[in-house]
Amino acid sequence: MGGLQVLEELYADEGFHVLGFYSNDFGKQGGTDEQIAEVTEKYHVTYPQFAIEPVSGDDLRPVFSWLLSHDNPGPKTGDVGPSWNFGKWLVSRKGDLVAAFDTRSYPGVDPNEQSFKESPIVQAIEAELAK
Amino acid sequence: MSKLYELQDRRVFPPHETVSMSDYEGQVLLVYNAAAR
Repeated sequence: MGGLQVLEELYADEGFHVLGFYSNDFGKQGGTDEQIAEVTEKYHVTYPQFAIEPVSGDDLRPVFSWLLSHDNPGPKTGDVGPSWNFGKWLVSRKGDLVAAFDTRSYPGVDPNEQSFKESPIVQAIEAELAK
Repeated sequence: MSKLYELQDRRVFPPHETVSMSDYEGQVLLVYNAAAR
């Protein structure tokens, strides 16, 4: 199980969901729905996953057009948008973009690890759920 | 209301079912982008 599925299972009852958006924008990946199905089974993904559409460029999908209309709230540096796969953005209960995390930000898979608890992603999720 | 909830996208499964982002209104969301393989 991947770390994002761990987050989904840990916080879903408090009103939290992970939403995965697939693209073939970076590195000429050329993946397919069948390959997504294999990953879904391998990592036991239960959260919503959205079909392959651009997340960058001029013809990007609506949710990412919305994301890119914002100033970067941090802690990611640079542009608010994705520069590679596995960018992450946190949205409040009111639908406001409240944080952006870069490709390397990852909490790990063990909620009992101190590094998981201290992960900026986990801390930001818990802060939003507490509001 | 956030403009986010006026948007739609297509799920992978069920095959390319269109859903409204308003389905997630009131939830804290972690959005991410991934390679399709």
